[in-house]
Amino acid sequence: MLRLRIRRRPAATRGAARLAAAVAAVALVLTAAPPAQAAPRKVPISGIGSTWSANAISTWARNVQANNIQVEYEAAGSTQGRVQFREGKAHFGVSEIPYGLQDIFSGTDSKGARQSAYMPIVAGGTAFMYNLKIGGRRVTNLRLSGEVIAKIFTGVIRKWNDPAIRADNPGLNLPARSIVPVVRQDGSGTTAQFTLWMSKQHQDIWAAHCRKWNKPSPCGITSVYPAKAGSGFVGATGSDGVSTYVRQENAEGAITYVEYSYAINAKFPVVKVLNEGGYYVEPTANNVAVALTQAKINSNRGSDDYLTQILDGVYRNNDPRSYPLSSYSYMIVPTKIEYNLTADSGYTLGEFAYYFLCEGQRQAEVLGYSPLPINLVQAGMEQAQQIPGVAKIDVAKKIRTCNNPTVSADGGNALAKSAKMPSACDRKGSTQSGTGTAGAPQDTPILPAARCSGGGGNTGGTGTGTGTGGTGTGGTAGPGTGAGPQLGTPGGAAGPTPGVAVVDPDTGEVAGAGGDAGAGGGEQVAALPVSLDGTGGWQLRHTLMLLAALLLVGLVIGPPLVSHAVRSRQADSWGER
Amino acid sequence: MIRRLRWRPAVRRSTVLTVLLLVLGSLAVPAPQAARGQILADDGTGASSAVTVRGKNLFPEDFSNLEITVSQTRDLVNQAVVVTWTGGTPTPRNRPLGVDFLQIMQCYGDPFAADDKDGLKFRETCQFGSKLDTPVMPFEINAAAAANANSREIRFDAPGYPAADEGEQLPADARMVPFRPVSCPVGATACDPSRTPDGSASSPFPNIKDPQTGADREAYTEEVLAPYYGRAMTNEYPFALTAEDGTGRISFEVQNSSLAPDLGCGEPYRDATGVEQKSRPCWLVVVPRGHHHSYTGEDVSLTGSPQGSPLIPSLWRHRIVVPLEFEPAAGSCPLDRAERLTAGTELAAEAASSWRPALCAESAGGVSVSYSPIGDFQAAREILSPSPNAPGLIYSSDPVPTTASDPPLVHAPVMLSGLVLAMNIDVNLEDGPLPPEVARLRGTALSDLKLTPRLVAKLLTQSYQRDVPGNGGKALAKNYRSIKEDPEFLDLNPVFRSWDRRVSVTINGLMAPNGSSVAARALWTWILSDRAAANWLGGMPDGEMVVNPAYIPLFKGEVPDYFPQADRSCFQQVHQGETYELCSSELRPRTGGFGRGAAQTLRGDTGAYAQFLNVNVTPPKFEKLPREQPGFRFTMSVTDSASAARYGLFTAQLCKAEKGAGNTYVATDCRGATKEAISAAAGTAVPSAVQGVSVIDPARAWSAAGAYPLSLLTYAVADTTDPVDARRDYAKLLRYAVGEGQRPGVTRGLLPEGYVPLPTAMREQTSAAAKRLEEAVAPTAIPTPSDNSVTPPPAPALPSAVPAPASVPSAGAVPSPGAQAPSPQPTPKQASQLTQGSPPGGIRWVLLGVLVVGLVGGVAGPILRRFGTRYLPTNVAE
Repeated sequence: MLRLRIRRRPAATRGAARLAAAVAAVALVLTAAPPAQAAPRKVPISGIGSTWSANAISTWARNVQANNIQVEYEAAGSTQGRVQFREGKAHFGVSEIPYGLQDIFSGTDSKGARQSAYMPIVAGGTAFMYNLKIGGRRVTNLRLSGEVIAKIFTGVIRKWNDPAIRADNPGLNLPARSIVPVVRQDGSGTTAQFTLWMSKQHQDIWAAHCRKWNKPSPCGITSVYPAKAGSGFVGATGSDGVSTYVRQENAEGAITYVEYSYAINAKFPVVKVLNEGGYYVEPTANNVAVALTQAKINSNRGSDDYLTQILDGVYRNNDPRSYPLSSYSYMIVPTKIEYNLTADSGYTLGEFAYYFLCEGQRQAEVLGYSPLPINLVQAGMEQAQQIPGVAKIDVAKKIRTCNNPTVSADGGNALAKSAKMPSACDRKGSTQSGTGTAGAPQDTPILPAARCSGGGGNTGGTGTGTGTGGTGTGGTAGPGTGAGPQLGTPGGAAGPTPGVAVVDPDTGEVAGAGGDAGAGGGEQVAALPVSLDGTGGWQLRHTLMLLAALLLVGLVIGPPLVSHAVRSRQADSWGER
Repeated sequence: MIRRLRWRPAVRRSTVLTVLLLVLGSLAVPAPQAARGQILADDGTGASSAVTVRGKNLFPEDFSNLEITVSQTRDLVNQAVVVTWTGGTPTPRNRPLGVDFLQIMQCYGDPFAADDKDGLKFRETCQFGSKLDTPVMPFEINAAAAANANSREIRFDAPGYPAADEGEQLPADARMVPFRPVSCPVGATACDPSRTPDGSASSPFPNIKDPQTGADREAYTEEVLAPYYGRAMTNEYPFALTAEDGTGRISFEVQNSSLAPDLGCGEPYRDATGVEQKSRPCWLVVVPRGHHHSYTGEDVSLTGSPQGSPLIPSLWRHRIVVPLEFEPAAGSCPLDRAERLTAGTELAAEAASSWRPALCAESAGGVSVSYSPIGDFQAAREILSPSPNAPGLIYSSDPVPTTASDPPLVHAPVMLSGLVLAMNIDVNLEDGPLPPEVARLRGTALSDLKLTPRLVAKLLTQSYQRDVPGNGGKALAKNYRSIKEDPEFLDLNPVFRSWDRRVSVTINGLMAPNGSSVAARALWTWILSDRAAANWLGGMPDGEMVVNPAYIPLFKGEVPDYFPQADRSCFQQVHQGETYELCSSELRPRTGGFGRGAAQTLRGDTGAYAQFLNVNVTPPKFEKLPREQPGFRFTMSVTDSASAARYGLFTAQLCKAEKGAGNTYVATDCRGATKEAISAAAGTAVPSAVQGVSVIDPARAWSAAGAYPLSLLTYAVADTTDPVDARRDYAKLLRYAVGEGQRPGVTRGLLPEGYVPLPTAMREQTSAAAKRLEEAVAPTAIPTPSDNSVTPPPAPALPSAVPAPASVPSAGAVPSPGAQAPSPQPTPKQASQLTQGSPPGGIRWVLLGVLVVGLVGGVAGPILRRFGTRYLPTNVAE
């Protein structure tokens, strides 16, 4: 578990007006009544919770130091976040799931007496980071369907060359290696997100796993992953723990569920997951944004779970670009002055929230998350109004100046609109794209039979691509929500690397189709699942083998012969006597 | 600015109470020792605000030999200052803590107010009493510890003590010295109520709901204080221990009003005469604790302790006060200003944080620049990414190579720093007669540690038994349990020969960050450039130890750019039929980054789990090791020089060692991460694959005289095809970075400690790069590439020459609508390869062998038999 403590120098000189205001405020304090009612002060605040969103929160905390806001965030896991917040040990908690869900393994954690509200903070995809090699070469383009993922993490599929995995990956010669599922052993929101998805989408598989622990069916969500030591599963603590395990050279065969940014940081690939649209996709910021357009939000203001997510629509989003395991994280903010909350800490928390809901969302993508869509930003700001001591704002007005990357002129989600169509090669079927993922963008060779041929690129184009004109790539503007393939874009001839016959997916044209290059490419058969001795020739080991064999023969027939020789000599000498 | 002081500062000020008379400036401080492995900062002016003060001789303790030096007392921000002292009585290490230590805290208020001679109002303005943990000492002498020494409570829990101190002015039934937040300054009678309650009948502690049970109960004292400060944020130092030689050293974190708003240090205020002042002064207060009964004067070192909170008048009278002047804390960037995004290696983090507020000031151009820490390699991808949300400038210690189809980049050197092995080691010696030069170090913070590439390799490869769950089994059976037993280490650092023998008193693994970085690669490159270390990593025993076999394959190919944790074994314990496992990632967890690693080192918090199943909880679990206590810490981490400096950590020296006479190792050439050694390494930089960009090769620096091999040059890399106003802002950043941003100092905007100012030539290079970036031709046409093999595409993804938008990157301007993600053809690669990772080993020959034996035996047996009978000499048989 990590604990981040950010303390730094204060900020830049501010304008004269600000200084004057502060001086006036202090003067007011000195001359007048109780200070609590005076100008609010920025005080250090502390939070605890999710490791899923820790990379984003600690980056925001670092950036607001320049504004004299000191935020200390401890990434101890969502479960700890809910507990510590409830007990008044932190100013805010961060969790992937709300209080009060019926956890099949660890019971229900109640909201407790502390009054609070949920505020969405950042979206992202729960990714499947894996360590797999074929012929000594890292696989970067693995594709799996949801069912296979569920079976892997319930111990049903145990080998990488399982027919179901091969069916997802026609372009890979998968090795007969054991799968090592790596799960979180601490209470984790990532686990909760993952098991929620399994319970909704693959209830039969998940329930069968639960029955091993004598849990009744149907089986629901849990924060503590059920896995027994010695059953082929490996448990690790924290997102850092699982990603550290998987990335080790000798952890070949391992796979874990973790937030996308951890895979990027480790330079590792993630699984392209099959969506309802029939495509295998990666949890990029854009694909998560697309998926979350179907997130239902509890919009019942009277409900305790106001603004919590209902993700069924996300799981089943049939947009070809949608990443099914998309979700967002909440901050649990206090709504009453009690425990350690003062008006000052409420004010500071509010300032922090205004920052990360707007400007801070621009940092989401580079960190491997997806920015919150504007409707959630707006709802989050409205929630912030409930924090005691917050500087109240006109939310509608603030939204207009909010520098959120999902905002577009026409009100839609800019990020979702700009999301690229997945490669036609990654449509469910007999072809597979070699493109790498996450932290491992390098390509993986594809078996010839599964390669996209010249025309094949076009077949999958049931685009919902939408052009937002302006920056002009030349002619794809206009919403194309129909069936028309958005592929034959004239003008944008992307340059392939020389020597490889490539179908440019942007253009649908065969680019650089030199005969030699094409043939060369064809020869490069993807991978070999068996151990082939590629070195050849007589080597030391062969000499050793021969020697060993000779020795053995000597050992077997040597002693009798020697003994015989000795005896016969003795016999001779006796005979002479 | 901060200069590290020798244990015995040359400057002495005999100041008894008259601290105000201290001359604050121009104290001649001895030249810092270059070879001590410290990061030094020098503002070049030679001015220092170090202050030395002396204790008093008041009944029943004589502290007049105690001299305390605070390394910096002016222009303070939120930072560490080093407090060192001499002439103290050594803290005994063989009894519960209670006598002869210092208590250090920060206070506002007026220590010299005429109406407050005993400082009883002043003590209410001190941030103290959060009940931080008391170090656990060996229990060889059964003496009572000092009760309540870490609190504000005023009761004594000891026989022979009065019910209340006679100097006490609080109500007779008061239970705690109240805290008075600054927003209600001393003297402002109108806001007396905001002083915290003292627990008396007239000012009772509030009732609260118990957070666990929900039941109503009276608040504990630390809960009464919680709205103002608490364990997590307080900077109080209740137990600063004195070493055998009477010296001590701690890093004290001074806090301005942004971290300690209820002290208000550095805030504008109105002084006693009603005049507006820019920055409220504060005080560092040291309360020395002796070994005499506070009231009888009896020496209690063998039986008990002077009891109670340091705020009790009888102890408070010994206080030593040092003035602290803060830089005005006011001023900040507007939070809603649109930001320019930057991201990149954590080596840039400290400087980026320092520069951000300064850049935000109108005088520097009013640019709000955010920074996100990401790995160098990811940063290189981001700068080439066409996404409108990608950063326009990244920091990387590797140049970013581009192809013809990529946007042209500019590279500008902006920071020079290094990777270090930071340490927080309290010298813990065994009892018994020791050579005086060793005994002297007892209880001090170890400042000098020598390591060789091979020793670092051993620490980073789980080769010491303690670093492997289950202790490594057969493969490591002959290895040492920890570095504390390694002869090479002991020869280079002889103090460890007298180290506490207990198994637990050693390092729980060298902490290293998760994630890939150029810095990690540099560390491995340095290790592998040393022949002894490289051979050892390759599997050759060095006569002492073998490398953990799980690591051998990792060094055969490319140099790793991360810190592997390759040992897969897990410690297993069965309890009631269930198996519980503890694996490497729990036994030796990776840190979340350089900064976090340095913070954990300072706190003595490895986050590691103990190899011991706690069966007293349901379900049973492995428990985390507690934070190591002051006086008993032994933590080290791989971090960067700026993070180490920020947390006031000493750093190890990297040495070349040879076996000398008597078969012992002798260090022949040691390099600390000093300004000189890092500058020397910058001089060895060689051109890289990217034209005009040079990088430091650790192997080359290691072979150059006096160069610190893990020095790293960090480049800012910017995209020349960004919109013109963005490029203008990033150019401002570059100019700032090599201008004011290279002036060392702790003040915001300057170059933080741990960085070394760039050589002039590199600054000029950056200025030129800023110019190029600003004046780059608007990217309607990409310059024709020299590479003639491919015609570059007309850059569909790049923003064309749209008139520069008035504000920062507009989110609406999204390129490449609805296109498909690329799905290129596989890159050709040699087809036939050895499958790695699962070599079947010698076992594959077993079957063959058995078959051969069988065959030979089967054929030879009968034949031999026949031979046997035919030639059997008949006379013998008869």
